[in-house]
Amino acid sequence: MTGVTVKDVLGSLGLGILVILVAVSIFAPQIAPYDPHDTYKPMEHPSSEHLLGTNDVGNDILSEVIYGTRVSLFIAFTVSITAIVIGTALGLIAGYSGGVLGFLIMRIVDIFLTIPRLVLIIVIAAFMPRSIWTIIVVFIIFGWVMTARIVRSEVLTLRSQYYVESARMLGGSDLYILWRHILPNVIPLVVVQFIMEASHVIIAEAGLSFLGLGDPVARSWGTTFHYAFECPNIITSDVWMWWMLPPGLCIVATVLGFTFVGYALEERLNPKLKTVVGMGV
Amino acid sequence: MKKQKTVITLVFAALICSAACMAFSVTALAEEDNVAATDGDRIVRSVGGEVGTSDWRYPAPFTFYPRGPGYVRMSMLFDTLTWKDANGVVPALANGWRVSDDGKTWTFYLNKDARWHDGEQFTADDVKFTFDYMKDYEGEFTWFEAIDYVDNVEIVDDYTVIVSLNEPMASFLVDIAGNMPILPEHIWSSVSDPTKFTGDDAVIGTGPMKLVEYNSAEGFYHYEANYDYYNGKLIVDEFITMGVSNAAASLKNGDVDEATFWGSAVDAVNEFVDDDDFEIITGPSFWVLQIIFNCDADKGYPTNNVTFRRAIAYGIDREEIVEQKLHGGGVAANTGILHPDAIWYNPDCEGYAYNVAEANAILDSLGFTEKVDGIRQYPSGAERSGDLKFVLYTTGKYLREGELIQAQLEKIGIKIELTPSDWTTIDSYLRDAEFDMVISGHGGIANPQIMRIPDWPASTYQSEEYTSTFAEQEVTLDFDDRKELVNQLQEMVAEDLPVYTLYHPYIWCVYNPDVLDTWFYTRDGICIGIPIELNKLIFLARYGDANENGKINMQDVTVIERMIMELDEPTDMADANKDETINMLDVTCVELTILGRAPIRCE
Repeated sequence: MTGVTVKDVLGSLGLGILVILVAVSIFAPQIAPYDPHDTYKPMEHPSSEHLLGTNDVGNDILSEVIYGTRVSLFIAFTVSITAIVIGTALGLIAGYSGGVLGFLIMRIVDIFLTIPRLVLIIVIAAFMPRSIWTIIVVFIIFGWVMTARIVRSEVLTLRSQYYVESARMLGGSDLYILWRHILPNVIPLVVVQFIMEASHVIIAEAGLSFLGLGDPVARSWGTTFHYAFECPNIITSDVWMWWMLPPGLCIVATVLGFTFVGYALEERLNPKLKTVVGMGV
Repeated sequence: MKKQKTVITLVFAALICSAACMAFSVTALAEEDNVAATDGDRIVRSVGGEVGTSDWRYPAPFTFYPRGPGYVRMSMLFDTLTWKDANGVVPALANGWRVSDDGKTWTFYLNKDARWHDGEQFTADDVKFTFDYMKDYEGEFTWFEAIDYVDNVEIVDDYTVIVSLNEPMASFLVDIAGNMPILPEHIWSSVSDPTKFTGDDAVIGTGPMKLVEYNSAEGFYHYEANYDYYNGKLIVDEFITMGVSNAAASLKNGDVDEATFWGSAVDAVNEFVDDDDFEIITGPSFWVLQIIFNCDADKGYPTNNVTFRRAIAYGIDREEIVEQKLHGGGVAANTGILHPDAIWYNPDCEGYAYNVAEANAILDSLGFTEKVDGIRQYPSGAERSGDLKFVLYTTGKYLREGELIQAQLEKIGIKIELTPSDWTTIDSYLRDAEFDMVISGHGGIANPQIMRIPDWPASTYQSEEYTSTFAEQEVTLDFDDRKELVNQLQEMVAEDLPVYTLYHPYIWCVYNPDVLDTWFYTRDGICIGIPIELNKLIFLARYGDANENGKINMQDVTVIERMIMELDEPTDMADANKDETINMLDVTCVELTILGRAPIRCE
């Protein structure tokens, strides 16, 4: 194991992107040249004062995109952490206890899996009050399902392992076994799941906001995109280059970052996917 | 599992991309819809709105969506007794008319050449039938509510009718005669559920256009010329209005020949200023954006206090909103509601120029003196406590204005919770007086009738003086007297501030003059005040020599002269009115004076 695989390179690249984005969102007030709610002359082209120009009400677009990182990442992390915790807990219960409870949980999972997710999210978002919390709740409702299913199947395998059986025979309580022996073994799967969920939420949130169903007051990248698209001359002039492209590129970069990290981690952490394909062995 | 996740992620990415690409694909879609132009046929394609918002329902008299664009699409097919052009009222199915001194008896002399699209002759029976039908099915024609004024309609002969009113109605010539589509008796006499009647027969009228195709999903309307039109020669063979996702791009690509732009779309309009292929006309939109306050005595604290409302008025910088949001594509509004370009406009209303010191002084005097983090607190013992905080409802469309107002009011210590919602929900809040403030807009502000309570959005406003003044102006025939009353109404609104007006946007029509160059803006709006440019008279040859110096010279002298000549002959009409010599010119002047229009050639 001396060589560096393509996956390692991509993984580091992805991690780098994510670290930068997290740093940007933490230090947004220091990095952004202006408060995104301050108004200047509207529809200015890029200049030394406004590197990405100003939008339809005169907010500095660069500052808006920088602050947008906060909103987008906040939603992504809040949703995926909560959804993963719920999904893992339910997966553990369903897999370990089995029986009626496990059966019920898995049937609920099946029902959720058959529902076309984005369509239902759009419908719900259209009827609920527009706020960042609506979006978070709606995404969590649909976000835990896959994790629960994956964790459960892993737990089913782990449950019949000899060391688990031994622990049980030695009188270890269910809670002890779950915590001490099973959870550590599903963590790698969960981490990958977390990353996939986060990148998915970034795209879905941008999509909702673009359709005008997001929280219009919290300006995520999708919201910036939405207002840009509403501008009547967005296509017929150059405005799209500094108004639509930057938030779009940010979305792409974030999703790539998450995907690369997930790609690299998945093989590292999931023993079943470990292959011998690599640049150097 | 990984594969599945990737697939799902890809699907989402694809969804977003497809939404973003809609602009481009719809262009292609529109091309498919276009009817190939054959030599010599003049086909005019107009933008009817954005994709998904260009459907105004089936253009039959009882099924169109009761907003301006819906009415206009119906009006292509159905003519009214009178109509309007850029200078005011013109004849349509009625060649001429006269009114008794008490303003209660109107005699209409009908056009003898008019035919229905199916070839049947139009007669006075159809007119009487329509009035009766509208009364029988009152409320089904949701577009107007004034049919109560009509007492009865008497047929004098095949081409003369006398309409008797219960009370004089100052705006009768526009609000009823120029508004009510005349229906063919031979079709509608057997229709008992007009709102469900949508077949081919439902769109047979006397108008300049016939309906070829209507597609609800695409908001697509395709009309063809009615070459037998009684009111003049047509220069357009087909007319299409449809939804496009970006009007400016569609115009530049040549997918459409005309589009309308509002307010902040001035940025798009500016791109056509130097383009020789297009011409632009500017109009007043007769539209106002306003903040509606809850004035309800029980539920409206503290906005039910007029002094408090004035503080908010002083604390809002309307010029900043016009500059930041509209980019100069409008003007700060008249606080009396009616548009500065309307004949009824009262320029002397209190304007509440932006004045933070004044706003603060008023709020202090009302007891909102204590501040926490810069936000004022309700005085102790008040109906509410804590931060002086309001929910400001609006639709997604006016959120930007909401954001600006939020920032401005924070400077005088008022916190605004900006809450986007949809119209149905907001309307129910307005109805139940369960709101603090709402940003909302409406058109029709060239016509004082828009100020009728409770139709007018200020449904929580109650003032006996206002209501009685409104009722009085409705029946006042003398223009100067009525103007004085309407002035008073505007002053009351400016004084009491049930709503605080923000701005009037401008409206532009950008068109390709090679295809059609007769576009104009109607005096005080089409019909009862629809500000858009889709007046069916643009299809007529006699409006074709227009557009010089950006101003439309539509003075249609020939038609008026023709009318006068006809009336000077001993005709049926003269027989019906033996005692008087009819002088159409004078009659028109009287009517126009009642309406407050500049008379057409009165000397």
